[in-house]
Amino acid sequence: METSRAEYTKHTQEAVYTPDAHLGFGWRVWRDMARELIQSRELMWRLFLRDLSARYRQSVFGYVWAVMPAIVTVVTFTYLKGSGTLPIGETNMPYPAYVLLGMSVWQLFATGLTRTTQSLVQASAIITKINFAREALVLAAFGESIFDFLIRIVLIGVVFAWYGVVPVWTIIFVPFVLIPLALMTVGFGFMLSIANGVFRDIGNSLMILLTFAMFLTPVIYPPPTQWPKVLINYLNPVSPFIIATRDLTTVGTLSQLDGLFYASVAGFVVFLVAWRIFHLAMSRIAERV
Amino acid sequence: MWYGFHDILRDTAGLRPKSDRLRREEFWAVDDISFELKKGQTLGLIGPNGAGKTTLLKMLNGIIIPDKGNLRIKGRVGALIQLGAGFHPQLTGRENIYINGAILGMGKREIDKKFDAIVEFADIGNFLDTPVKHYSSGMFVRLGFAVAVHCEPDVLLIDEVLAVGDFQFRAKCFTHLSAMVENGTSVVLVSHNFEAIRRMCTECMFIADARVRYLGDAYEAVDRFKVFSGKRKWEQGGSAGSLEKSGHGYRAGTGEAVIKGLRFLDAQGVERDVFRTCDKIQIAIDYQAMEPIRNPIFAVAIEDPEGNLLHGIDTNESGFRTGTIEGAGRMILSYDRLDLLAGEYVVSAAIHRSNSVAPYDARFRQYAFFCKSGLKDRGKVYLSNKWQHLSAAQKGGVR
Repeated sequence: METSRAEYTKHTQEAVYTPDAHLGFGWRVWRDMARELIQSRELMWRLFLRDLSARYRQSVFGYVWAVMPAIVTVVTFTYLKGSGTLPIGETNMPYPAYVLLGMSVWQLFATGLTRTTQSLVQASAIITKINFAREALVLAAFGESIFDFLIRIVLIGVVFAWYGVVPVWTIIFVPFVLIPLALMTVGFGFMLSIANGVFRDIGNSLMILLTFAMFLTPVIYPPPTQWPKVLINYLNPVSPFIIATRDLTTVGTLSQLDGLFYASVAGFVVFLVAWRIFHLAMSRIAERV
Repeated sequence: MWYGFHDILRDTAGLRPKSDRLRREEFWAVDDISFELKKGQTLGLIGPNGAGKTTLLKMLNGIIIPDKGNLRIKGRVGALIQLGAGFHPQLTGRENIYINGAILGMGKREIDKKFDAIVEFADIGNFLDTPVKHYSSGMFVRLGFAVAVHCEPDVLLIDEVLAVGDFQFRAKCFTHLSAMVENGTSVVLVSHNFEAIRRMCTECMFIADARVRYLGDAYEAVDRFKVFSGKRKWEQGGSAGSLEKSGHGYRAGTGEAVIKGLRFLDAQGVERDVFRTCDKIQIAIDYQAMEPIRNPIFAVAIEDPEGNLLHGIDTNESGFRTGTIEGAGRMILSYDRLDLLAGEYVVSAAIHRSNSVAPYDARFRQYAFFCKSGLKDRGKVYLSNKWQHLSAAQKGGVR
């Protein structure tokens, strides 16, 4: 017992709980939030590992399930396009590769959002009993979505090789495009997870909404160029990231720089505001989750 | 639900609630409670269900922020609230130790170092690499407890979890907790186990209806709580003296004579319902005989709330001749010294025929009185006692 005494004196800080100390948008609060997040990186990693190893245990196909939805979508739409049922314009690379790339980025957002939204409610047993940085739950949930995405990259590599698609060198910039998308996803995830803590309707309706939203995003079709459909490229915050990812992979120039810029700024802002709201809503959520 | 939505919006905007008034169907779960707990002290928290004990613990833990007032805690706070709450059933004990440790705020290195101690304490042996869903419920809570106490908090909050595991494990828990307290950990203990409260707590707070009823000596707090909870149970229909209408117990009889009421009187003949151990108590049965009855038998029984008979007596067995009763009258049974410890005591009374068990009127478990002991003795019955010590030499001499 005495060995660790020194170790935890560093934790020996005084906590003061008052009704209004945690409110508002002051700087002090941002500092506390950042410190709390850094302190809980270990916890985040553990929660991520927990969910990951639990998800694919007792499963024959294991990690293949991470790419299943993408494969099914690709096969479906390749068939629909090939049979002429669905009039989809020409794409600048073989259609299956095109859809797969778009799907992968879309799913980073979509599964990220569904996982994070459920993360708080699923952990209600510990949220109401133990005090820890709940951000870790949301971020760990998003980590799973990143993991799935990384697995899909392997699949993308295989498909590209099969069709002989050679990516251009600008592909190395793709991660920088995905960072604001990730922040935006986590931001929305923060908001929706709280909302789901209060109204369970959110989680239920999200799946339906996301299915619908996928068709409002240039995932299975090339970005529209005609008014009013071109609005999809701008009003849908996910579109610029998908378009930019494809551009960087195959073309080498960004076709929609302004959209990407606005969406990235939006991503950062959404993340910061949502994080703040999440942080101070936590005590209310613990009352009601 | 809408209140939660509203509260979050308001917090976000940084607004304070306009007033302390409550909205519809809201209530103060904890109101006007102040206390101070120093390093190495143990505070017990007792009270009926819904008194606000758990809410208070949650506030101490920082899970709920108070709407009024403030709280200061220095040091790492650990909670033994629901053991194994963060366990994932699919994962092994080993994996869950790391996860639960992380949730409780331990780093990987810290857990590595304590890993063996945790496993040994939990005593899960060969099951370390088995998914915890295959654990027995005992093993599950043992592991949860082991992880929780090994995070070595400065303040440990315990909510009703000391009732877990078998006897041996409980003893181990108490030993471990005592060692922690000696090392300077402060403990807040919520329990319905009065034994644990008395043994562990330097101080005890008795809460009811979100308010502090008593704060101080643990024995006194437990006594007060026993009387309070007993009374509350009985009072839900009428006053403690006349409980016939309160739906307690039952009544049977042929009705030639009826028990109109039963009163508990002290040495001065004053009616009361709370007595102290070793007080004189008189049980007065007011009856009404509809016709003259020769030598009826009056019987009284005192039981504990669980139904164990503590004392039963009747006039016939005592050799007391009641003679002929007619009209209204009072039969008094006196105990010179009430050798009962703190608690609730349930009384039955009956008037029987002299030659048959069929009662004229029998009121089973319809009355109650309460005892406060002010003594540290445990159990229900006070047996007057004295310790004596003989050294080996003296013992030899006695033999």
